[in-house]
Amino acid sequence: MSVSKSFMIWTSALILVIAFGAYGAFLRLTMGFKVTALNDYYPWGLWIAYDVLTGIALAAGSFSLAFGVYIINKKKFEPLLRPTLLTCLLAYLTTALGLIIDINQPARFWHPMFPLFFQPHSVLFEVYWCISLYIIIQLIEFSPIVAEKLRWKWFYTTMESEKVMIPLVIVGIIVPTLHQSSLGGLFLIAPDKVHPLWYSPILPILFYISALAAAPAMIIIESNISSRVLNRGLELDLLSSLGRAMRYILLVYVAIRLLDLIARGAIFSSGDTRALFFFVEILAGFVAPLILLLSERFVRSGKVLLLASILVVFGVIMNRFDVLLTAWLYPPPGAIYFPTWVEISVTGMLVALEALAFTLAVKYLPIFPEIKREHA
Amino acid sequence: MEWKLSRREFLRSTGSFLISLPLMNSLGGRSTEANPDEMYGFLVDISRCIGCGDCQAACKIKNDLPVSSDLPYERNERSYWDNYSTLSAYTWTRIRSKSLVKDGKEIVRFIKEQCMHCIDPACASVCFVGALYKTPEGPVIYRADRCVGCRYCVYACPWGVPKWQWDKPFPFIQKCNMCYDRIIEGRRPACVDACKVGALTFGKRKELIEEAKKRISRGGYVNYIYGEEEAGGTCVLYISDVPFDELEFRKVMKFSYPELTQAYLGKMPIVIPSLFVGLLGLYLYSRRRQEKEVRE
Repeated sequence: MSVSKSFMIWTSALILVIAFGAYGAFLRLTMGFKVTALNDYYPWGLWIAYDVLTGIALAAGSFSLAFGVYIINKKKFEPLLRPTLLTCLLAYLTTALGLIIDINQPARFWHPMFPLFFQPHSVLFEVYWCISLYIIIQLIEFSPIVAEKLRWKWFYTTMESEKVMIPLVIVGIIVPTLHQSSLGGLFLIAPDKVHPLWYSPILPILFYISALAAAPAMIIIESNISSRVLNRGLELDLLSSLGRAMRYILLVYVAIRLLDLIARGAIFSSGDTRALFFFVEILAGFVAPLILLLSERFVRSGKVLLLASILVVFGVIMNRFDVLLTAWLYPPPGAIYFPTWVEISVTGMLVALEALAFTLAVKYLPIFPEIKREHA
Repeated sequence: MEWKLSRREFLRSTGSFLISLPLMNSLGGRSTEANPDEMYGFLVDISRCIGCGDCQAACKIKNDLPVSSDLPYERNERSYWDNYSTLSAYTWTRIRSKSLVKDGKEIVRFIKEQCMHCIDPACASVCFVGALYKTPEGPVIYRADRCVGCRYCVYACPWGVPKWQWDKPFPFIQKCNMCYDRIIEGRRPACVDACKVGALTFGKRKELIEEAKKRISRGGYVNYIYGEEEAGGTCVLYISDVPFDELEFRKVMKFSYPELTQAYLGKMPIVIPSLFVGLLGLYLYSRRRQEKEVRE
C-alpha cells in the first residue's frame, strides 16, 4: 500500500489538531466549565453555535441531493451523491461527539431516549430524536458503499433497489426537514431575549430555507476541493445546475427574510453594533451571492460559482452565530462572550476529525467512482 | 427487481401513516393541568421588607448551600446593601437593593429574588427529559437524576433563574424549589418562615391575589401585582409602594412562553403527513413521466 508524502503531512497535521483538541476536551471533563467562557449569562457558546447549529445547517446537502436524484428523478446528479452523503454523515457524527462534550452530564446523553423521560412538548426533544434517527438513516444509506467495497453483492443490490431506497429516502427527507427547522424553533421560547433583527415567529422556516441554500453551496465547494486535491475533473455542468437551484432558494430566502422584517417593523430596530452584524450577514452572505447568481454567464463560470457558494456558506455560518450570540440580549452590558482556547481547540478537533475521516474514506472506499482505488 | 407502487399501495401506506398521527397529538402539550388558583406561592410586599437578609440565610441553611463561593461572578461589584451580586448555583434567593428618590427623599427598597414559579414555566416546557417539573402544588422543582445538562432552561427562563455549578466538571442546575419537601408536609418555605416583618405571605395563589388587592385598596401601594400576568402568571407575586419600573423589575411578556413553541410544534401533525404524501406523490409523478418519455 503506497502513501504519498503529501498524504502523510496532511494526516499528521490533522492528528496534531485532534490531539490538541482532545487535551481541551480532557480539561473540560476534569476542570468543568471554568476552562470555557460560558457562564450563567451565556449558557450556549461556540460549541452550540458552530458544532451544532452550523454543523447541521451545512449538512443539508445529503437529503437535498437525495430529493433531486430519487424523488424528482434527476439522475444526472448521481455522481455527487456519495461524497455528499459521506460529508453529511461525518458532520452529524462530529456534532453528536461535540454535544457529548458540551452537555454537563456526558454519560447521560441517552436520557431523552428513555421512554419514562419523554417530553414531546420540548423542541429540543424533537431535535434530539430527529438527529439520532437521521444518523441511523444516513448509516443505512451509507452501508451500500461499504458493501460494495466488501463485495457483498446481495446486500448491495437489495439496498440499492427501489423498494428499500425510496421509503428510506422519503423518511430521510422528512426527518432532516423537521430538525433543520426545529433548530430555529429552539429560539422561539425567548422572544424578549433575542434581538428583533433575528427573532421571528418564522425562525424555523428561515433556518430551513437557509440550510437548503447552504446545501448546493457546500456541494460546489467540496467538489472544487476534491477536484483539485484528487486531480479529478470538475463537473461544471452539474455544479451550474446546482447554482441555478441555489439562485431560486436564495431568492425565496431573501424575500421572506425582508418581508418578515418589514412586517414586524424590526428593520428599523437597529442602532447598536448588532445592526452592523446584521447588514454584513444579509448583504455579504445572501444578497451578494444572489446578485452574482442572477447572471447566467456567472452561473456557468466555475470561479464565480465558487465565490457565490463561499459567500452563502459564510452567510449561513454568520446567521447561526448571530441568532445565538449576537442577538442575545440577556447579559448585562459589557458581558461579552468570546470563546477560550479550550473551546476553539475542541471545535478544531471536530473539524479535523471530519477531514481525517473523509480523507481515509476517499482513500479506501468507493466514494468517487472514477478514481482508482487500492483494491482496483 | 422492479417495484410498482399501485394506487392501492399508495393509499394504504398513506393510511397507515395517518393512523399513527394520534401519537403525535401530545406534541406541544402543557406541563401541568392543575388549577392555578389552587397552587401554592407567596406574596412579597416590598414596602414591608427591611433587607435584613434572614430569608437568604434561612435558604442557605435549609438547602445546605455554602455561604461564600469562589465563583467569579459572585465577586462582581455590588451595591452597599447587597450580600450577593446575583443569584447563583449556591444562592437560590437573595436581597437586591435599589436606591431611588421618592417625594424628593432618597430611599432604599429591597427586592427578594428567587424562582418565580410560573404557572406554565418556560424551563419545564423546554426540558427534554422532564428534569425541571411543574408540580401540581405549585413549586417548579428540579429532578437532578434526569438532567442531561443541555442548559436550555438557562436559555429559556425569562428571569434567568436556573443557574449552573460552573466550578464542577459535571455540574447540575440549581434553583429555588419553594421548599417543596416542606410544602408537601404542610409547612411553609424556609424563607417565609424566617421573615420577621411580614414581608412574605405564604398561601394559595388565589388567596394571595385577594390579599394583595386588599392591601392595594387600603392605599400606599402602586396599583399593580407583579406576577399576576407576567409570563402567563407566576406563583410568586410582588406588590410595592414604588413603581416596578423604578425597581428595575424585568419586563417580560404577559402570556405563557410555552405557547410560542406550542404554536410551532402543534403544526407537526399537519406538516409531517403533508411532507409524506407530497414526496411520495412527487416521486410517482416524476417516474411516470419518465416512463412515458422512454416509451415515446
